Amino acid sequence: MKEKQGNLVFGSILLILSIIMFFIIIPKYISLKAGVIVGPEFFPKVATIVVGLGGLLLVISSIPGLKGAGEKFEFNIKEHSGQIIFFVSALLYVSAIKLLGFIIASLIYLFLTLWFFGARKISRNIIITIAYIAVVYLVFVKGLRISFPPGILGF
Amino acid sequence: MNIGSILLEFTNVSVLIAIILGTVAGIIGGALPGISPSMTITLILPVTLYMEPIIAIAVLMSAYQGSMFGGSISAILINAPGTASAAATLLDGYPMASRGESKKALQTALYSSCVGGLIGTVILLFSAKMLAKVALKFGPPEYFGLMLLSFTLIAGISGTSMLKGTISGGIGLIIASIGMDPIYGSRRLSFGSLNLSSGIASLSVFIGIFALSEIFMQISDRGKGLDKVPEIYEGSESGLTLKEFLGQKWNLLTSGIIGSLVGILPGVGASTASFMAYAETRRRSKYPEKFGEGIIDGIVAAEAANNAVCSGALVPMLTLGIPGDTVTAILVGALITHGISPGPMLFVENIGAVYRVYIALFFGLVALSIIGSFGVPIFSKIIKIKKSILLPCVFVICIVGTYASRTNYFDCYVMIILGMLGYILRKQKFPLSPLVIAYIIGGSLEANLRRTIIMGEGGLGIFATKPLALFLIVVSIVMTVIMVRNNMKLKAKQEQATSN
Repeated sequence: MKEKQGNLVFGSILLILSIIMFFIIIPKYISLKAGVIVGPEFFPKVATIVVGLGGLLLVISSIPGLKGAGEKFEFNIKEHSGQIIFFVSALLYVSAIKLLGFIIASLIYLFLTLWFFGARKISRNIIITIAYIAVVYLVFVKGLRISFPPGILGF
Repeated sequence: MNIGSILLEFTNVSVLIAIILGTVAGIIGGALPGISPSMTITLILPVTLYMEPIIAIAVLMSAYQGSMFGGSISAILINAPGTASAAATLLDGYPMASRGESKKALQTALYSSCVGGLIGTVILLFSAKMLAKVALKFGPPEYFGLMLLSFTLIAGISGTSMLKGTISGGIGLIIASIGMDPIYGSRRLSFGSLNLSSGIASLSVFIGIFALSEIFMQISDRGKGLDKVPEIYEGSESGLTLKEFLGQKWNLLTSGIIGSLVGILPGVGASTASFMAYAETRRRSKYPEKFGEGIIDGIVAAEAANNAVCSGALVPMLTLGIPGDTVTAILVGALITHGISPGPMLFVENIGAVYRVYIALFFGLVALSIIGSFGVPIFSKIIKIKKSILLPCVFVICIVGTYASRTNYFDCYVMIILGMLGYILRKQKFPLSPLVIAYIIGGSLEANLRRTIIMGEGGLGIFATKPLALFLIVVSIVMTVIMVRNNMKLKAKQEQATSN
């Protein structure tokens, strides 16, 4: 029952997003070509229909037996709090690389992330962080000559 | 360009080092539970972008073979297959390790992987060129038929959730259509962003969907098992004897052939091949009751088959340009980045690249046998790394790798967002491979369909005048129907088993 309810919710979201995509986003963000047989909007429309119809079928297929007994589907934000924190921190990390430079941002981020994932020995985490970032820097920047733009500290 | 001069290229020290490093990286990636072969190749891919094509091919092919074997290390030692394809290996590998025969089990897995891989490479060598000759007669309608056929593999890899696999594929097609229109060159779905005008970087998709979504999934285990060291059975000194191994010659041969043939079929995969070979060996065995209790026959069958799949899956990839599985989908992207476009024309325009792939596979197997022989005791220590340390380190590599592909931070943001999308889809039990495969073939599928429609002046009647294209479309439909039927039967069986 829990899975069926989840499918109902997710199928509905997909259906709504597909309608928005088909009627608003595609006409607005794809410039149509006059007098052509199949224009640039053709394929995105086909793909959107696939997703939209799929969403609709998911909704329809989840309706039978929806009222049965069993665990109910509910979105519990606490259950996903770890993922949300990691998602936001990952976005911030990329912004921090731009601002502080790769080395400083990565040293701070990796140390905090090790803690976040449950590694609680501080001295070991410091050694891992410094050694790992040094290796990554040497391999990618010195070895493969990938240039990270310098941060505000100049490296 | 003859094969002799290409063979000479492989005697270059840098190429040989690349093969060794690729094999080691593959074994390590495969051995770590949660790091699949596709994730291993994805994480290695950014590094290869800055290499010469021959070195990149050497690294990728040897890593591919290495990762297939690597999966067996954790399957045998900790009862957790590092890769899905090693799931059949643990049936006999782990009981052997539990009896203190881990060394013998690992050696059996290693040498069976090498022999299986060799059988697959020989089959690739003989079948690829023939298939490519046929494919040379292809025009846009035939290519569309071919792309449609490869699209049906989504049905095969979706398992019991066909509908979810199709939706996942649809999402992949939408992602593929972001950027320049392949026919008229106009911008699509770029929302005014210059970064999106050139489309979504393939590495953002691969890393986000596979690697990052896996990290998101594992976050749920924080505070439970992430900071624990996996328990390993330390083995005795008795190893595999030559007599024992030679006693498995027919098992090696049949399992290798099964693996190669299954690999050629799009969408079936290494795990199916290893279970098929395992079942066949058990069926032919004089002592089927001993399977699952820890005998080398089971390990030989599973490992020979899953390594033979590597070469088998390269047949449709190289000759037709269609990926047979997720790893080859990523390899297609990697080769294109190096200016090598898989497909029938590759055999005409760049036969050297084809030879390089063959030779890299062969050298990769030689490296695997040598490195594996000496390195198994060391590699088995690597799986002791705690996930609480491994996952943050993998994430930093994800960021650096994504940035490195186009030296653009925007790709990193996209990768993170796609990682979250992958996590949401996985939580809702959507398979992710259809998304990536649809993303890879979406561009060709669209371009060839639209060219065909333009050739037919707006109608689809042109297919009636192209028998090969029509044949491919009919085969696609038939294959889809068969796969849907099989999946429905499997689902019914699963539901029956659950209700019982």
